[in-house]
Amino acid sequence: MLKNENSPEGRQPTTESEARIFVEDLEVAYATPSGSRVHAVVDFSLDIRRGEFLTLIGPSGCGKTSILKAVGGLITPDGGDVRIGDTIVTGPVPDQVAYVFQDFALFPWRTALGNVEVALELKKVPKAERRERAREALATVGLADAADRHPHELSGGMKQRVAVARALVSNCDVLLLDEPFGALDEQTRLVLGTELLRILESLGKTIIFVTHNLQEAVYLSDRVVAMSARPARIKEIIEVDIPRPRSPDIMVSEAFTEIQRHLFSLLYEESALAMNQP
Amino acid sequence: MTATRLGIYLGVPFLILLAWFLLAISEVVNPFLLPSPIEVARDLGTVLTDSATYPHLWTTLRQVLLAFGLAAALGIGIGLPIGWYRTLRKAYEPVLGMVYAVPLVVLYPVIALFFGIGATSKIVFGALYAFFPIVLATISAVSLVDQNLVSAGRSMGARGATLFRTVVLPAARPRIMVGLRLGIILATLAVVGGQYIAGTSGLGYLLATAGQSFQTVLMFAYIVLTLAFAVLVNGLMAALDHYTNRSLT
Repeated sequence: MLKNENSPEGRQPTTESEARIFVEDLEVAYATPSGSRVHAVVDFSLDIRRGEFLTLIGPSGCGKTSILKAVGGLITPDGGDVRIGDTIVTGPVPDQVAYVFQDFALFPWRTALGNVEVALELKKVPKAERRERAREALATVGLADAADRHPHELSGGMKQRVAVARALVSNCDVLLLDEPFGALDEQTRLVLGTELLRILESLGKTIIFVTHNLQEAVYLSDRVVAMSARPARIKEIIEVDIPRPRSPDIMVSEAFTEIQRHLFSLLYEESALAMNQP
Repeated sequence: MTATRLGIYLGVPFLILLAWFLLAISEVVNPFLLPSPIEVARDLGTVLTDSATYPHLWTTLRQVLLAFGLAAALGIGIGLPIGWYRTLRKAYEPVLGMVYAVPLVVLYPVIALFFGIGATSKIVFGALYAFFPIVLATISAVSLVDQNLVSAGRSMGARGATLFRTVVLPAARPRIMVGLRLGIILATLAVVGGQYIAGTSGLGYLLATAGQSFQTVLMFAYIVLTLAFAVLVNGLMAALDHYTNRSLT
């Protein structure tokens, strides 16, 4: 049961163009209840490399989630486009992109196993196979024993891991993580972040990660994109050239704290700006 | 079960029975109007051993279930799209809420005129009563479905009918169930009421004939029987709840 990096469910080789993401002049606007339109994202362009772990970090409500939703095809941009490989995203791309949502978005009426299975069910994978694969994915995140429990019987950290298992089970090349630790306490967050990194480093997926936790951003990422207050613009892109595999020890290293300090100063003024936005 | 819990479960029913018994034997209330529970129990025994009782029970059950089924099909069928599309909801939810507030019993003469005084009018009347709580519960259930769950479903490739079946319906199910439970209670009320007002069979009809011929002991026996019937109907709903819940996992 304990297979992850050696699992046949591991990463399948893909062509260069298939898993690279291009975001071009993205524009996303929302209608407020009063009827006016607010721009969440304006003129946002970014290329995401194949196999890269990229983090979007910025003040709350700055439009990070909107960018992620546009990449996942969950919203239609008001301008610009997103391409995954050669294909322009016009809707969800479940064969290539898997999502982990901030509040986990587990189906309360399904067991942990059922929640993982649903991703395969929707792809019409035969029942026996999807059950097998779902059990494997749960084992990968260390939840083999919790398969028959419902979400309300799981701790926050366990729910988060079920959500990760659900995203991993369909074997997509691209993972979109929308504050996957947002609802967890600091300690759980740290442990799960380390754990997630261990799993993901072995799978080589292309990942876009949204957070407002600096430490997490630096620890997990190859590149960190620091965003401005709304509407979301890129303030600076920081390369995190700390070698992998990374262990939690690096969090106290000089290089790590240096990057974290730099990010902090970038984000501080933007967060102050964001606080005064409605 | 501990003695305390048993006391809590049975305490109130016991006190009511006791009060009834004391009121009856002390003759504070005219014993013709309020017979003692012992007499009523004796008559209930006679009623239950009389094979002529059962066709009435069966008639009532059939009419309640048909009324409920009709109301559930229409209420859920209409409630789902209204709950899902904001524009439809804004247009129709207030209207349905308003009609629900009208005492629908005023329509009974019209229904009796259209459908006669046979079974059909009872079923239609029952369905009319059950429809509103079901459609209103369905509308609110669907509109309150957590949009994050819908996003999760969409991100995994669910759309259209599949999205509805996989995410929206199961997420809305508990709240729809509340409407269904209320609906079947109102259907029972309306069917028995309809039989009482103008019927030739059913529990309502039995109640009416016993009452109108001043057989109060018998009337009370039928009241107890009707209460037991309501408990049975409620049990059916609990089973439906359990079954639909199980079928999801």
